[in-house]
Amino acid sequence: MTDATLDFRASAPLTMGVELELQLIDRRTGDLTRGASDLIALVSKKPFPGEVKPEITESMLEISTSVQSAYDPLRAELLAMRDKLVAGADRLDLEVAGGGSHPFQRWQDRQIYDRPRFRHVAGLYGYLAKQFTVFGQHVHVGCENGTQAMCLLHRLAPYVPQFIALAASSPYFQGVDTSYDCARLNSINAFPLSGRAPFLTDWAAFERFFNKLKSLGVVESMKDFYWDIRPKPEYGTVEVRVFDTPLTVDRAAVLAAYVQAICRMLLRQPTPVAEDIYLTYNYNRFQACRFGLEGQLIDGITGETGPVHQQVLRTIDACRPGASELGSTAALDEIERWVRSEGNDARWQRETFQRRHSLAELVLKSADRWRGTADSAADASDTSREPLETP
Amino acid sequence: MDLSFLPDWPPVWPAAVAVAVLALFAAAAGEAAARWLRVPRLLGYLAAGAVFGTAGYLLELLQVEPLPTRTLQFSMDFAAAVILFDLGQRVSFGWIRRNPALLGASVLESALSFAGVFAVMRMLDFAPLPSALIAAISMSTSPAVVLAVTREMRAQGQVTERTLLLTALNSIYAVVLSTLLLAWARVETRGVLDDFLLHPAWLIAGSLGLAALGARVFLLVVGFVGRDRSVQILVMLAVVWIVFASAVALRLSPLLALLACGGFVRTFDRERLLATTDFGLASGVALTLFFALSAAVVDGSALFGAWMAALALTLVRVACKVGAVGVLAPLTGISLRKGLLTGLGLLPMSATAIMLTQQVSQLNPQLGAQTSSVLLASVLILQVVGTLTLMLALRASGEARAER
Repeated sequence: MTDATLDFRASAPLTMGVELELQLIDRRTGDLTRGASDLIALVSKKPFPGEVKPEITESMLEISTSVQSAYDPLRAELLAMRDKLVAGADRLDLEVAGGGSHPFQRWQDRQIYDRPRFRHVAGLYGYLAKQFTVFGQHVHVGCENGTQAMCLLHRLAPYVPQFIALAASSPYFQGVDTSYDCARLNSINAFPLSGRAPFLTDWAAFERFFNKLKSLGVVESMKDFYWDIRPKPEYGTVEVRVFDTPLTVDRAAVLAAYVQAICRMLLRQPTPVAEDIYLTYNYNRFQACRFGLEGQLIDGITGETGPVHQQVLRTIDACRPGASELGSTAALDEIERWVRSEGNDARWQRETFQRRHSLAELVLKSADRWRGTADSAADASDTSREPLETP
Repeated sequence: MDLSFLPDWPPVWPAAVAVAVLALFAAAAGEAAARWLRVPRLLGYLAAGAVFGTAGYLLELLQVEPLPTRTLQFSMDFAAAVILFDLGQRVSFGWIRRNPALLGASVLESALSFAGVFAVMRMLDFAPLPSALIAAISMSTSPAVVLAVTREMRAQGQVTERTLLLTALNSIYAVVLSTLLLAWARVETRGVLDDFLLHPAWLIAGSLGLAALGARVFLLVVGFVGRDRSVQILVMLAVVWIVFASAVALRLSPLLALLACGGFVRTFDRERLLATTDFGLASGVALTLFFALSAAVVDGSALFGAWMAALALTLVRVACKVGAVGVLAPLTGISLRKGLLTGLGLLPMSATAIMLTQQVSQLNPQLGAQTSSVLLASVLILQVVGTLTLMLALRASGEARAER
């Protein structure tokens, strides 16, 4: 078998795009329900900003933005998509919701979406494919070439715990409080090609690696890698995949702008990449999944330790100059607000459950939040919460 | 030797035991239908009921033991009450606010069915009033069949939800219209107009008022007792019983009262208590009994009914329902194909239609006799055919859970 070249399509650096996997919810029970194909058919009748696609089961769908270069237009596009989707869902008596996991769905009840690739995945992974009913946000950042993408990928790795903790919105899974802020990544860890990408820093090396695995029959395409961060040669991007889908599109836009600001900082001050960052990678990743912003991180190179929220605040300070040029100061302010007072979505979910004692109710409240119509009284009580301890 | 401790011969059982014996047969027959014929269980329940009814009829002919028809009838009415309440709380009436075209589709399919059946009956030389009554009642889809089949197949999706909604709506139209027609019949015979609107007004306003009251009581008690499932089911059965008995006692429409009670429960449920409530168990038991009993008590003379008229009614009803829901499908936000499948889902008729005819027979025996022969025969056809088309529609739309 001759080695195929894996062409990396050049794209404008620091452009970005967002993909969100969403839940389709039954209005009465709060359970996941089938309806992706009907909703997609309905919203596709009229021009839809960005794109809407089916996902592996009939109760999931994926929306993706067009290529954007700044926070404000990205947020505007996400809001427009959200509104179109909600209007369509209303006509079909469905609710759409964010969140990294559905709190109580039973994976046995899921039906695999009828497309060859999904049937293939279901046949290969068995029950894992249905248990894979988890919902993530993917952020793409444009790169000039494959080597730049591979370097950026490894230099983003130390920020992965921050990303996980900020976006975490999957505390409940299969009807129980998992005690994790982000239980979703535990589901993904079960797949053989998940976790971190191998330490390859130029594109030719990565191509050789890919072709080797392909000739061994381990993978067929880039889609078979479920890595936390992976290159996406056909888009010309690096794709960060560790985010849980947030409960609102506003948060999704903020997270994308945060990644963009960090990438800008990394590209402006090139420091050599060292494999030692991965010494503590899995440990830090676990801390972020389990304890969210309170997770304790260890720097693999300096040995320094500290909580995730401290790292976030430091990163925000370091990014600020570049962020003002990118037009995403507001996004950084927003992240600072989460860290200092509001917390992540997992915290909102736990507090809402404690108030209502019903996971179904939690899901329906999350759907209200996704709509952007959550009642203001509840919001007021949300913001009156005690702030997280910050240094 | 004193043998007085022994029972009298033959021993005396309470009549209700017949229901229990029938339930045993039905449970087994339902499983047989699902396992060997791969059809919905309700067809097995019906078969068990039919055999039981025939056997009872023979025993009665041989003067061995009369079938306790009153007990059976009462059990069946109560089972129907549970089913109607369950449908009412299952259906999303608020949906028509968010998608008004659905109400249009509902009105059109019912109006067309009415017009089509009325025209056919007139062509077959039925008088205008019986024709209109038959047409009004055949607007309705069987709530029992639709609930039983969607539950059994664990169906989820647009065809399922729309079938449930349109069924609840056309059942309501049928009650209201048949009441109006009965009132009109009284006006015709007595020539006084003043009570034309009085009876329907009493029936509709009274039933809705009773339903709202029942719903408030239900939510009050359920909100207090919390989330224990068995207690929730008990409260549900108690409220259904009270609303049903009150509707009968006050000469209201039990069908309308219970359907509306379920709907109000969902509408008034601001705390979303219902989100975690599942009446599936109670409803499943009620459905089994309902189908078995409805076949057991069916009047044997229905077999000599107006088969030609029933066949004509069936054909025109199929064309109207499938056509109307299909044509309006794109306006309501789904594909033509799913619209046509929803139309097929609306075909089942069942004993709930017969219960409407019974109301007619009580109030106007002559009119009752004219309409019931056609309707009974139609129910016999459409109960089986409609169940199968609904099953096929759910399978074809991919909304049924994959069979094991």
